[in-house]
Amino acid sequence: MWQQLQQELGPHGLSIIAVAIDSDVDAVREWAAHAPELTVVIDREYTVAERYGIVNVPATVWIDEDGHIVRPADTAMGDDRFRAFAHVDSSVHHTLLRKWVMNDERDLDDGTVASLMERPSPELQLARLHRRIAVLLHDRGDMDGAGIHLAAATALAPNDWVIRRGSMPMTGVDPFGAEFFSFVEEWMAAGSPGYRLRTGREDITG
Amino acid sequence: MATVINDTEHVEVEAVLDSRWLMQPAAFSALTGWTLKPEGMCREDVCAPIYHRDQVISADGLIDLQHAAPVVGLSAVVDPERRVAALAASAPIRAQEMISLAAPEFTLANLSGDPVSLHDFDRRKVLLLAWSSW
Repeated sequence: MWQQLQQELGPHGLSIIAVAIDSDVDAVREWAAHAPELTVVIDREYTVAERYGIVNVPATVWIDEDGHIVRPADTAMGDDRFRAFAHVDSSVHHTLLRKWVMNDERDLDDGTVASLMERPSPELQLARLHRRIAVLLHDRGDMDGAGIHLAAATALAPNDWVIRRGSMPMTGVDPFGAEFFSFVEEWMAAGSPGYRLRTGREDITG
Repeated sequence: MATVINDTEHVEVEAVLDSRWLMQPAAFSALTGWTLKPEGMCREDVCAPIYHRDQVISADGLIDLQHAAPVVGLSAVVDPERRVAALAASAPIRAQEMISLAAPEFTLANLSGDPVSLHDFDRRKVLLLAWSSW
């Protein structure tokens, strides 16, 4: 769907930059093959995540022609494949996006955007630094050292999906396996912390 | 030599490593842009006072990176054993940048290894789509 949105909205001035918060270049390549019109870049050290307050994926941030953030990080799905799990109606975000690109209509003013930016806690900032050290040590073949820093990152930011789930492939843990599901339970018990905007969120009770 | 991941750059530095990560004042200054002076840590005409001087500066006049970082608005993680440290803006400074709503610049490699920067898209609307294969 992102590919279609790029085709549809590109002529109206939109560029989609797909930032892969990922270490697995082959997996990124496979995904990118399905979306040849998108600009795809790889953010192994979570630089963009740190600067834009990305705590879960997939998420989008809107930036206008003047380099001004007009919509903060929020969950946004390309399609409804994960709707039963994520409870997000993807079309809501796509409709807002069309209005912004075609008519310059924004659904949030600057004050709201600023209040919804995911400002890091000191612990999260340290967790991100541990994550960067882990990537470097992993690249050097020091798996024990990488594991120590990933564990430190997880202890500091237990509810950040990018830190927590994003670290699983590097330690050989299946990101769809038992450890992931126990993380989800823990995260829900903590009140499902994350983006507060919740565009297209279908509220569930219980 | 030891490696500091300084925000997005990897920098090789001289450091004295035991249980702490200690640096000569000149090396610390080259790394962070802050210089040790009698009045504190200074950059241009701004000086930040040093409250826990015994933690920040060792007995032989070296600077402890982990303890000096918060003085100058940085977060630091140090691993002297593995000779790697990482530095980035402290949480309050990053938060200030975020609420300014100025989109932070970044340069990342595409799948061909070529650099792509946000400013390559000047005068376009940009949708940053953060995603992953995991």
